[in-house]
Amino acid sequence: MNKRQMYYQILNFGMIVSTALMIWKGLMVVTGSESPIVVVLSGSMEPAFHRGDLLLLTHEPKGPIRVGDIVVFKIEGREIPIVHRVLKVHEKEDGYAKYLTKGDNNSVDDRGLYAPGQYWLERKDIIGKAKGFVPYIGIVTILMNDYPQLKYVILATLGIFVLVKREN
Amino acid sequence: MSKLSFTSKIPEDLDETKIDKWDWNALKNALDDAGRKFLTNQKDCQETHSLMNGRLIISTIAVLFSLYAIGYDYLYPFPESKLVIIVCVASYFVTVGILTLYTSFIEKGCFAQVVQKLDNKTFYWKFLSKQKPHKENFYVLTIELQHGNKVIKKTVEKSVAKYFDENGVLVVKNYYSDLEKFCSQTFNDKRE
Repeated sequence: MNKRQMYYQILNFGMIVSTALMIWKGLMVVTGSESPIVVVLSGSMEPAFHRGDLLLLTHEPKGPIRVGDIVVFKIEGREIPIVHRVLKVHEKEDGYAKYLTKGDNNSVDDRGLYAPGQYWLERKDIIGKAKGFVPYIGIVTILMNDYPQLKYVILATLGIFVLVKREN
Repeated sequence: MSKLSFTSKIPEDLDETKIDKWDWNALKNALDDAGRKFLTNQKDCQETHSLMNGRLIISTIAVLFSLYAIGYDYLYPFPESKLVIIVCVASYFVTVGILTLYTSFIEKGCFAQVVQKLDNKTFYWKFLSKQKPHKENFYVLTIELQHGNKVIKKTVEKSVAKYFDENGVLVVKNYYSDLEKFCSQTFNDKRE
């Protein structure tokens, strides 16, 4: 029975991790976005979002993008996506569009952030729109980013706790 | 007419169990463990794990769905993996739902199962336990005896104060003599 109990403790741990992952993957499918939930890392969108807020992102490849929308885009050569507001939209009759973005709290538009030679964003650069947000919750992610050891300490503690405690 | 030959003798390899007497979870686990040892050490009794195996199989299936979804998404990133993810995520949660139903309605707190062969007859014993909600110092033990098609159930409710002393040490003698008494009563009930 001890072998079985041990196997069940491992399965239990696996199920806890799996539930989190399945919810994450499920959200990916429902929102259509590769990263349905992201944490705001900079203060460039204050007072709308602050560092540590959680954003819910959706991705509609065919949906309209209008001035005033808050979009998530990726610059070539950069890993981290940026969440800023659309300032200008130029659209041709055939549907081709280009966009200019700017952070609410920045004094200049994002041209300084785009790749060298790039003055506009195209539809393919935009990976989603911000649809909702939860304040403060993402502070834990920022802490774990700034102090990576904290990540391992928390994970190790949780892992040991789940494996050792026998549930009722 | 055969008589139930269960003994309340304490097996030598049973360590003294000392727990924090206010830790209700540890109390229940201590009684469950000692009770399991009681049942599995009886003459002509062989421990079986059919209920627990069922739980392990269902859990394993759930985790396999999850691993498949994660692996497939790793090899063929979203959005190609969309269909696989939908199917696996749905299947995962359905399987976890089935697991919850299984533990609530089929396993029902069973912590020990044995098969007893006595005089060419086969008896299936099951011990199930739970604690009364909001009254965790009461241990509710159910003994289930299945012979052929008949199932006899006997439920007793005892305060844990009867089996643990002030230091939180389990007094096995008291516990085992009660268990032997309840099992005999269950066994005799089956004739009626």
